[in-house]
Amino acid sequence: MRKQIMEILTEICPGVDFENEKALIDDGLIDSLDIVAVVTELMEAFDVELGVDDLTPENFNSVEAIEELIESKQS
Amino acid sequence: MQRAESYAALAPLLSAQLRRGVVTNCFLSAEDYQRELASGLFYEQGEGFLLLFRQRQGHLLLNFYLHPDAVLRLPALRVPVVTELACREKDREAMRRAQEALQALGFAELFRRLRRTRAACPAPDIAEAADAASFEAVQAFLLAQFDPLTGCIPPDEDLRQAVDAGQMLCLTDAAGIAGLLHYAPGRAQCEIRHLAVRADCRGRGCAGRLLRMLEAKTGGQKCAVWTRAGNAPAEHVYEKNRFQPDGWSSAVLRLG
Repeated sequence: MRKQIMEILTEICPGVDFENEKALIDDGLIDSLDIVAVVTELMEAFDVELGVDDLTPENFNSVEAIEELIESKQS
Repeated sequence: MQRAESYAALAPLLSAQLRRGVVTNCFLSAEDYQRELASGLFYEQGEGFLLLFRQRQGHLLLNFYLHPDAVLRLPALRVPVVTELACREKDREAMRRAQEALQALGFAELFRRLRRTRAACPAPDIAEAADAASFEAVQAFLLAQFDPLTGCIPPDEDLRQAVDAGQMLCLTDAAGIAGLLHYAPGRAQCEIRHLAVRADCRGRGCAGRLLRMLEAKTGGQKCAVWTRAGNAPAEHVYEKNRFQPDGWSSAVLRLG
């Protein structure tokens, strides 16, 4: 799952160090346009439904946080 | 145009916008929506779009979600509307198309802004503390220094909270507030919302003093600020204080 998330993020936001960045939202590395694209791809790739309530910095500040979010939606 | 009555009612509309190719300038949190609902939040939805209008004193702020096939239209509006389209270079084309769609409905570009960021730095060891100023004095100063439509002056309740939270750093003299720096704290970085020096006090280093007070207050935290493109005095102050353009820019549009 992590590899797939990394591929999605890298395609939408090339040039960002997703392995090490822990404040993707707080630091503005992912913006409002990116987040819509990322959420769309995540929903399709993992067959989960994400809503506006999920769009918090806590859920998208790092790859690990995104992974946890997807896992919570799948369970 | 309908008034949004609750976040619970609004959330499904917002979630429906999370689709491929949607262009938006909306990145509000649930807390932001709760605050906006209290001030007055209205929406208009149609074929491929959702428009959110946030009530301000005498005008509305617009946030939008535009799907690729949007047939955009505006509701009847009795007050001016302001919107800002901010993005990085890679998204400029998408935002340009959104701007064109809005301009086709009568919006006009007022000015552009650039964002500058200062990296985290050691907190300066300074003895000077900000002067106290009342909510009324701060509000009057902001209204005197910034355009009421495009100056991002917060609603009264938000402004009162910022004053109470010590987020308005002031320098005062016998005539009142001589300089003011309003900032919003953040986890990773703070953001300067307003920085102004009264006309008769300019050229005396007031802005630099306020910026150093901010560094001390936030422990040298990383800091961002938006400045109007072409505002040479502001650019000079920020460059001198280690703020560099970080690739974000915006266009501010107005209707009415």
